[in-house]
Amino acid sequence: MLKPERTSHLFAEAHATYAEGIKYLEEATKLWDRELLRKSAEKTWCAALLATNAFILARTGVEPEPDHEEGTYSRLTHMRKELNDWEMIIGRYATLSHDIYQTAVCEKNVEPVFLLIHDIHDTADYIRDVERLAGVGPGE
Amino acid sequence: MLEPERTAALFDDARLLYDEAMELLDLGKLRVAAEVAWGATKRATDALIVARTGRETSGTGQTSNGIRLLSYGAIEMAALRSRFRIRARVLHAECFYGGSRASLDVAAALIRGTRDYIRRAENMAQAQP
Repeated sequence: MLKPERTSHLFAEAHATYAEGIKYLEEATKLWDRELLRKSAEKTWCAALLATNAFILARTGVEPEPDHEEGTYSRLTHMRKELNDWEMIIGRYATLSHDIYQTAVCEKNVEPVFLLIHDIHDTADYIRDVERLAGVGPGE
Repeated sequence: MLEPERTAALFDDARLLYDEAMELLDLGKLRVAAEVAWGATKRATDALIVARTGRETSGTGQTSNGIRLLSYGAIEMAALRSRFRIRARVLHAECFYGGSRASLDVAAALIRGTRDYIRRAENMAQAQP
């Protein structure tokens, strides 16, 4: 793993941001509040982006610009030859970007709610998987 | 499988489009090849949705929602959804509409891999839900 301290810091930030997203989700489902659900989606997306940037940093030594979806995506596609089943990793990123970031956060479309909630929960698996691929966490 | 004849016709069309995309790729016409491969991806996904729900989708938005719904709680289907989304982004949005040359080798790899995508969708259409 390259730049281990900064990588760990970014992953810690990703986990903390995701936890904030889950708090918003709990409030949103308790109050049946769509704006809180959108905030949960926003935090979840930020967490996924931070984790992806940490993964890229660990593998390449270069940290993508923060909060720049396109830049992170571009760096990820440049790494494709080093990744096993790159279609899946980049595809999962593209799915989160489309269904959580573009649709729920930018377009403020949280429908269907049950699928968005499912996607928010699933993002925890994505973060865990890129963390493992970065060489952090169990199995590495 | 629901609507087996319609499902088979859609998969046949997806394979025809894939063959056409490969011919275009061999001719160096990457941008058009990308859009035809995207068409094959969409057709195969539509076929899977028909096989599972009996309902036919039309536009990209409906197909997108269809695969998202099918992936709910289904790991293999969720994997296909990821492969669908990367194709939507690279082949349809970036390569064709954006005319982007930046992801040329990614686009070519995804065009070639569309055959595998169709096969995966077909296997899922035949499997019990």
